[in-house]
Parts: sequence; C-alpha cells; structure tokens
Amino acid sequence: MKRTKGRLTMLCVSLAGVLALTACGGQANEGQNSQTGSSESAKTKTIYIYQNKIEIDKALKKTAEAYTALHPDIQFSIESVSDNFSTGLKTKLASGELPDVFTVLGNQDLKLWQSQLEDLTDQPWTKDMIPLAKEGITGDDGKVYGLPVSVEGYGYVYNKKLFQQAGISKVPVTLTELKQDVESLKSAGMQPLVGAYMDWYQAGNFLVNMGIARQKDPLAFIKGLYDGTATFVGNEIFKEVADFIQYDFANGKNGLSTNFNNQTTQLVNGEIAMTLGGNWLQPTIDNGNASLETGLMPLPVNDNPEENDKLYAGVSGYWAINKNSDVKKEVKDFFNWLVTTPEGQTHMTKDMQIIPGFSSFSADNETIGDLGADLSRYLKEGKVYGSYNSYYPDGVAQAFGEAVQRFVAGQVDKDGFLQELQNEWDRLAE
Amino acid sequence: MLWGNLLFLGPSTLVFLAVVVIPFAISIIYSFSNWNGISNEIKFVGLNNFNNIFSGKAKFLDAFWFTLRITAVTVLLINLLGILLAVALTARLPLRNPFRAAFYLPQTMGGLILGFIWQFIFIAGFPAIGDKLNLGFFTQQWLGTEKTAFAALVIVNVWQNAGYVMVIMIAALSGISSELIESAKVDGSRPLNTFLRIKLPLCVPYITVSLFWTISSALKMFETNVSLTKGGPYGSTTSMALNIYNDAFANNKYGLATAEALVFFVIILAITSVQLYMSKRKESQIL
Repeated sequence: MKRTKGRLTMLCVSLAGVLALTACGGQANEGQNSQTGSSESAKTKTIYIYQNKIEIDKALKKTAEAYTALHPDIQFSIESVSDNFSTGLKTKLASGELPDVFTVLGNQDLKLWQSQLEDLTDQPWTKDMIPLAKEGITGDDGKVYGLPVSVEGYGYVYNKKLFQQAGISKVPVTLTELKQDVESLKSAGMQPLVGAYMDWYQAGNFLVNMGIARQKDPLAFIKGLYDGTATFVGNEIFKEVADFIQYDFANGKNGLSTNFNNQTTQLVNGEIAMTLGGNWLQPTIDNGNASLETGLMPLPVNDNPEENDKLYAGVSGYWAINKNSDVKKEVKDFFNWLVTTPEGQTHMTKDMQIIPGFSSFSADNETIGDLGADLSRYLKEGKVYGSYNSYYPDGVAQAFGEAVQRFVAGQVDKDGFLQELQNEWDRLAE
Repeated sequence: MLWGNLLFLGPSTLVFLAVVVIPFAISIIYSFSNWNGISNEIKFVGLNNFNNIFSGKAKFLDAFWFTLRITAVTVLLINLLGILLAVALTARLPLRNPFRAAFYLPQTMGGLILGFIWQFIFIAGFPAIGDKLNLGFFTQQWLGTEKTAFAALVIVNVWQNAGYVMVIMIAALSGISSELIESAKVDGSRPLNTFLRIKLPLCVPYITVSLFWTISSALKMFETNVSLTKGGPYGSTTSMALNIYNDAFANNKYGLATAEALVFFVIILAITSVQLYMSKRKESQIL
C-alpha cells in the first residue's frame, strides 16, 4: 500500500510537470499571435504556398513581398520543394494541413487531386490561357482548376563555342546531319554527348515522350493505350526513337553512372557539346558559368527536316487552390494581380524568368536567356511537339525510365524494350 | 491496487493503442482496398492486392529476393568485420581510442547523407582516382551495372554499421574476467585457441544482439538505398522498403502498398524470430 502511494505521488508530480510545460507552450503561442495581431491590422491573413519549382523560390518570395506591400493584410508563407514534392503534399493532406496553394501537374495528377481543388473557371485570366496550357488543367467536367506557371521545353542543349570550334555552322535538323556533327566533334577531340541515364527521370519522361508526341494524334494514341487498341510493340515511330536513344547512349560517356548533377556540371564546365535538357537549366548555367553560350536544338530521329526541326514543350505545373482553404478569395485576388496587371506580369517574366502559358503577355527575351529565347522562338513558329507524361498512369514514367536503362545496358533488344514499355503501362494502368 | 496499476499502465497503453495498434488495424483494412492515398472513394477489392504480390505482378517478390541476398551478404560482413575490429581495438594498440571513434563515426551520420556522399564518391571520386592511377577497378561504372551497384550498397552498409557491432563486441570482450584468461594462459592455451574456445563462447549473448540488430536493419534497408542507387540500375537494387515507398507515393497504389507492408512485417517477424530462437538455444547450450 505504501509503495502504491509513493508511485502515485510520483505520477502526480510528473503529470503536474507535463501540465505546466504544456501550459507554458500554450501561453507562448498565444503571446506570439496577439503580438502579430496587434502590430498589423486586426485581420492579417496568411497564404500558404507549397510549390515544386525550386528555382523560382527567391523570385516568388520577392513577388509576394511586393504584393504584401500593396496589401498589408496579406502575408505569405512559401515553401518550395523539388525532390519528393508529391510525397510531401500527400503527407500534408494526411495530417490535415493541405496548403492553400499547391502545384498540380495536370491531367492524371489533376484527376488525383480534383476532389480537393477549387473551380477557377470563372476567373478572368482563364480566357487568356494558351490551348497547350488549358487542356492540361481542364477536368472531365470542363472546368479549369489551376493557373499555368510556366511553359517549359526540351531538346539538346548545345555548347555554341564547341560547335564553332568543330566547324559546325548550323544546328542539325536531320539524323544524318546530327551524325555528321557528332563525328566532327569527335575528330576535334570533344565529347559530343552525355546522357544522365543513371536517373530514371529524363529517360522516362523526356525520351519516351518523344515517341508519344511524334504519333499522328498523341492523345488518341494514349487513349488507345488505356483501352488496349494501341500498343508500343511494333510501332514504327517508337522504333525510330529507340534507335535514337541507343545512338545517344552509345556516343555518350558512362551514361548509366551519370546523374543529373554530374551531367549539368559537365555542361556548365564546357566539357560536353550536347546533352538532353531544357530551358530550366538557364539559371544553373547563369550561376555556374555566365560566359557559357548555349542554345536549344531539336532531337532528330530521322531524315525528314520538317518532322525533326521541333522542340518538345509543355506546361510544367499549375498552381491550384485548396477548396477548403480559408483564404480562397485572397488567393484568387493574388492570382489575378499576378497574371492580369502589368506589375504582376513583370514579376513573372523578369524575376521568375518564366515563359508564361498565357497569350496576354509574353516572356522577356532578355531575362529568359539563350535557352528560353530559343524555346520562345520555336513556340512562336509553332514548331513544338507536346509533353504527354502527365497523361500517363501514376508511376509509369519511372517504370519507363527503368526500361530505357535496361535497353541501353543491352539487357533487352529493341523489340524487347517496346514490349517492356507495353507491359509496364498495362501493369500500372489498371 | 487495481486503480494504482491502471494509473500507471493506462497512459502507456493508451499511447500504444493510438500510435501502434489502431494504425496497424487501419492499414490491415486498407490492404484490402484499391485506395490511391488521396481520393475519398475507397473500393474494397478483397485479396486482389495479395494476389498481385504473390503472383509477381507487383514486383514485390523481386524486391524480396534482392533484400534477402543483400541481407545475407551484409550481415555476414558487418559481424565478421565488427568482431575483427573489436578484437584488434581491445588489444594494447597505440591510438586505440581515436580508432574506435573513427570506426564508429559513420554510424552517427544519417543513412540518407551517407548515401549522397557515397554517390558522389562512386560517380566522381572513384573515376578521378582511377584516371590518375590508371586502375580499372576504380573507373568502372560503379552505380551503372547490376553487380557493382549491389557491391556499392554492400560497401556503404558495411562501412556504416560495422562500427556499431564493434562497440557491442568491445563491451563483450572487455567484460570477460581476466582471471579466466589468465588461467587459460597458465594451462597453456594459445591466443587463437583462447579466443575461439573461451572468449567467443562467452560473447554469444552479445552476438545474438548484434545479429538481431543487423538482420532486422538490413531487411528494413531504405535510406542508403534511396539516396545511393534509387533502386537502379533498372530497378535491380530496389529493397522491400523502397518498393513499398514507390508503390505508395510514386505509383499511388496505397492499398497495394499497405498489403506489401503487411507481408513485409510478417517476413521480418518470421526471420528475426527464427534467428532469436536459434541464437537463444545456442546460448543455453554454451552457457
């Protein structure tokens, strides 16, 4: 009995301790809240943005500050994450802290998140969205669910100086020209190509997309893949793309142990003439080696110049609004300011250096750099294929990337590779 | 008396219920569904997920086979190396303590960071050494082929964990009474004999602990895997835990992933229980 009493006292003491601690915590929190409440106007609201374009993080925060200066009652909390963005978002959803604004990739990703999103169809800027941008974020119900952040495009990023030194005067637009140029680069003692085949990301997203984007009607092809009427196996376009992939790998160096960082380092240091990449590399190039002159060129897979003088482009992500957010109206006002007022537009094009998915304003050629300017030119001339990875079943891009790795490692031949693409699609689509 | 016990057991039981039992029960329920992890619609599909796992459709079996192989290799190497280090560092060596600290150090770093550091070493460091010294061993594409990527994971795991086993074994070896060793010496036992016949048997309880820890952590391998090889090349080094993570977060097959997690749980439980049972039996035979 005595022992029990002793234990009880101990428990009471520890409980009291815990209570005291939590009480202190609560008080401290309250203190903070009331402080911000009294110094600002009584109804300061905070917009929590969670987005995946890490390279615009600083610029976006600057833009947010400018907006807060105009609207003192609106504060921002901005979190930018590139790796594991969607894992983080799902965790936030599970813990009931879904951000007010977050990135949605469009199509399949839209289907996944649609039940959580605010309908933005009635916003004034939706009529200005370019078709490429609009189709990705329009649900099956015909409603628009997000604001396109940026148009991005890819091809080969090439080093202009090395091209000059090897005596190449214009970028190749057919496969034969590409092969000739690779030979002249080699004979000038340069490393013509390098591919980041160690990551599944570029192989699974960019390389396989070439085959889909080059189909006569890519969306019909994808629909056919879903209902089983179309197949990768024996598809002539995919065979050409497979040959191209093999050529790119064979003329690269240590592709399977080169990752994105390694690839970018070699490009920025001027060690390689060409590598798969897009206009998103511009800030890295500017920071790493501002004197490096680069350009964006097509990825030719056969000898028809009209089919091959094109880049691949798509909207990399959309900002969508959580329909259960308390600050929906404030976010809509902010979006409106961002894409319909000259000031907001300048922040988008000059600070964030993006190519907008709107017809109402266009990119600033001086700030988007060489790569952006090339992409912008191809876009204007209409010489672009689309990006269709957001239409794939979840996880297919990774599975495709692994299939490409197996193909270039010589584990499967061309037919086996196409069969594998088909198997992975079927496995993950159900 | 009853109330007193309840007062003490109650809070911990409540916490245990809330963070272990209930989530576990919920995950069992999810494992029979095709939930994608986000939407409000959950459809129950019976044993479909388990069917996909055991028919090999879900890639879980590949991951299981890989995990078994790497567990066998790393557990063996970690324990051998750990014991060897412990023996070496309980001898009267100069700089004994700095060495102990150096070998234990990798254990204190997170697996994620280790993976990234070693990825850099394998991709950029080794080739640089290889080019300078003209050694083919270093210039091969370490993370680019199936066999070398496996070896790379083994190297990093052994390097990370051998220090921990070393610490346990140092404790074991220094706990042996010196009188015992003295009398063995007087009886004419040579050092190797003393080690194999006297020291090692006395260390068996510690070896049980080391084995249990290394086996269960090797089976659960995740961070080094995700940061060093990301399961590549072509998915050949995907561990069970990474496979579950991919299914849950990349493929949005949450139902399938919880089913895999259940199977994963049963596998680990079975393997470690067998190991514990056998080691305990060995212990009671010897001691």
